[in-house]
Amino acid sequence: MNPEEKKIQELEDTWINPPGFIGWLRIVNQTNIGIRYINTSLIFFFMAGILGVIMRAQLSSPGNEIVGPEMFNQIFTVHGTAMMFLFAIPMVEGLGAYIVPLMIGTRDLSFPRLSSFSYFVFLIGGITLFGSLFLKVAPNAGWFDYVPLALKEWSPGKNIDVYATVITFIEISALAAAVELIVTILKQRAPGMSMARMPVFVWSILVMAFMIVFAMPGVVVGSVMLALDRLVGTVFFDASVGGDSLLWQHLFWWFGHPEVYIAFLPAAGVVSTIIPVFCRRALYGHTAVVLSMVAIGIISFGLWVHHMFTTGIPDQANAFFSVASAMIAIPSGIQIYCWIATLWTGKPKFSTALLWCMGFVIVFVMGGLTGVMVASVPFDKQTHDTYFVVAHFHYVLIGGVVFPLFGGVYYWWPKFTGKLLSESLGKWNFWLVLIGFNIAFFPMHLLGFMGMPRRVYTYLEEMQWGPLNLLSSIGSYILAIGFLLFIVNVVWTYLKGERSGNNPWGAPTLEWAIESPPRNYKFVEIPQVNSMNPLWDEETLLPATTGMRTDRREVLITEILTGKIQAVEILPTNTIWPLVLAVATGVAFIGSIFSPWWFVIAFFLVFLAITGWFWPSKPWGEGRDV
Amino acid sequence: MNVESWTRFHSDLRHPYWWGIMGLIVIESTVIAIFLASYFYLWIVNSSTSRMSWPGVELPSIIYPSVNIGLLLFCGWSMWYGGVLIHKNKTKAFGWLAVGCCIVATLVLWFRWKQMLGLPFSYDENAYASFVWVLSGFHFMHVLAGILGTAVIGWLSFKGYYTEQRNLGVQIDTIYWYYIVASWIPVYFVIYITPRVQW
Repeated sequence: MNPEEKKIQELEDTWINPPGFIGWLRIVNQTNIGIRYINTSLIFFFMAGILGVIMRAQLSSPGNEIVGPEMFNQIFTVHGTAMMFLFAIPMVEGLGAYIVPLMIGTRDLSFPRLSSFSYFVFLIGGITLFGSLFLKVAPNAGWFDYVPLALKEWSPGKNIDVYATVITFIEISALAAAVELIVTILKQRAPGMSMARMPVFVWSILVMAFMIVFAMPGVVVGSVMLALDRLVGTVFFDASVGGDSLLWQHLFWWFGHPEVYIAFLPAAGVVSTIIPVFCRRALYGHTAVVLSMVAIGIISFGLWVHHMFTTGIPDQANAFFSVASAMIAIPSGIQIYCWIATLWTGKPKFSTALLWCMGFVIVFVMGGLTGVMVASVPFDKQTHDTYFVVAHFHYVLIGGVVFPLFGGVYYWWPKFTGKLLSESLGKWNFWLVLIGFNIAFFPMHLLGFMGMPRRVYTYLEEMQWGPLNLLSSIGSYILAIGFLLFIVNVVWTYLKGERSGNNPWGAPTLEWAIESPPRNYKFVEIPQVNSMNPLWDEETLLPATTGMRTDRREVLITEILTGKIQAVEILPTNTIWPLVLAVATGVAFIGSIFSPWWFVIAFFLVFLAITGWFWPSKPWGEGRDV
Repeated sequence: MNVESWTRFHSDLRHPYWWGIMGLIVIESTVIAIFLASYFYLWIVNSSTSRMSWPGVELPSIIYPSVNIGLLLFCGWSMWYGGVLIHKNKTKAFGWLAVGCCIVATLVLWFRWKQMLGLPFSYDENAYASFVWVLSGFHFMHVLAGILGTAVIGWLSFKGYYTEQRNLGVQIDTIYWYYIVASWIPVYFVIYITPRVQW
């Protein structure tokens, strides 16, 4: 065995994943956790999608009784809640957890155990939410769960308790992942990768993570207050003793509106990554796109009241938030022009991944235009809580998030698995989704104009909403078949897929410089980066350092702005404690549905789990450089 | 660049954990800021609509909350000075300061407990009362977490784990104590002092 082979063998041994089921629970490696996030959020996406199809079946003709009103309430609430909290956020964070470390040239996320913990919290929260639906006690007041409907007096069952506790619980997962991504991006980029050389996708994840840190506490505070009002008897939302119902709306939308951009920005990062690769040129207006992302991140915190135009708040506030809402179209528009310019001046190869991005541009622009319409107060007052709004946000969220993310999955699938997804099945997948989506959701604009309110479980024939609803339902079935083709493609690729090699698209970023799928240590040597597109601009990647030890999990720490080497640190290894902590935290929140004492008991369980997590394993050694 | 001889013992802002604890503190500070913003929102809404005069209940005594500021400042100081000592490899001395911090912080909890039991209102009396109970309870939980964490750090110190180079855990715990101390000050001013001011 020559020295190079010996080094690689030692890295293999150091970064090994433990075998067996218990071992699986102990793994902290970022690619494993990232894939778990992506797979689990896709499963929740399909489950929530099935709920959407059930709703469309119910509404396909007037007077249907496929599901009753109470179950319909639970279904649309879980559909919306799952799509936002169990698909959109975890999917982009999972993609970030997998791709970002590879793209910036490091071996793992900064806090590997925290990533494992956040995944298990997400998993437990998701199972609880869907489990409550099977037990018929799921939340039933809509994904934004307005009070006073959601207070004990009007919703006496456990349904809203599930919402109030599980939402905060799941947000812990999102917040933990956000901190982890921020620190990894700021401190573990490969030497030479200054902020100016950072890939756009990494920028998008960085902005998203900062947004999560400042947005999520809004819904955490709101849902804690709601849980306390319902379970303990505080009166934050009781207007008769100094509380206020609108406080909930402010707190929820402080989070809820940035949330749209939390999901959208990484998707824009995916598009900004894919389009240049398939156009064989660098992204047009790299700096403008990055600044637009930062601008969107900031402006998105000044829009939340546009969800409340009809609540009777002062006209001056309405005017301010109306202007702010229209203003966000400017940075969004700059991004879109940059993508079009890249396509226009490049030589596009219309692979499936690029098709998803093209579909995204078209659908998202339509959603953006109706967004500018509802930003206008008089227009919003007419269409508020109608199907026009349902159409608008599905154009924004499916167009702006689902399309690019599926593009990203097609693009990075070879990195995940070492195999290429079928292009022909992929194109069927894309076109059926695009066509089905537009048939399903475009008629909803018209239904909104015709006065159909959202969240009704049925309607009278005399309203004449039947034909357009039927058309919409047929579209949703086509859409569902389109997404099913993705599963078919995955299975087909697993069985017969073509090997991809390390860099099938000839892409310029660092994740394509290593094996597909990556080894657990990712990079044998951390590379020196000298340009924005290293694999296009440099013939070979040179190692940045010598002397990193291979018998423990070492990573390089670099300066935030310049990417100069600053230190070498050791990452922790596999452990069961993140799972124990996730379960203890779950006891605290889910137990609170039944008694506040569970929170008290779990507080001490959490302490024990954290102590176990950080307890230093022996031998302790000298504790100083010898 | 050869990094073989570089130290791997960092406990300052070169270590990712330093940034991680800052992230946690930013999140928790945002939570508190939103709680306080909600407090002022309800105050303004109630005053402007003449729905309820704020705070609408007999004001709580500020003796225990004020004494607690002093005690918490001692906790922050003891952890800071403990860090100074541990950099001089006086690990036992640090351990005793950690013990002192835990004792004083327990006193903070006891005073808080007595204060809550003696409040002239219950948490369901009105929105102001709910804020006093929840924010004081929220901070109580943080002090308790600080005591438990510091007890573990102190124990490890007596067992000889920490040295003048390997003391990341001490630094992280100390930073968290700074947060526990610093977070109480705005909460104290908002829920105990502002209702006393004649606007």
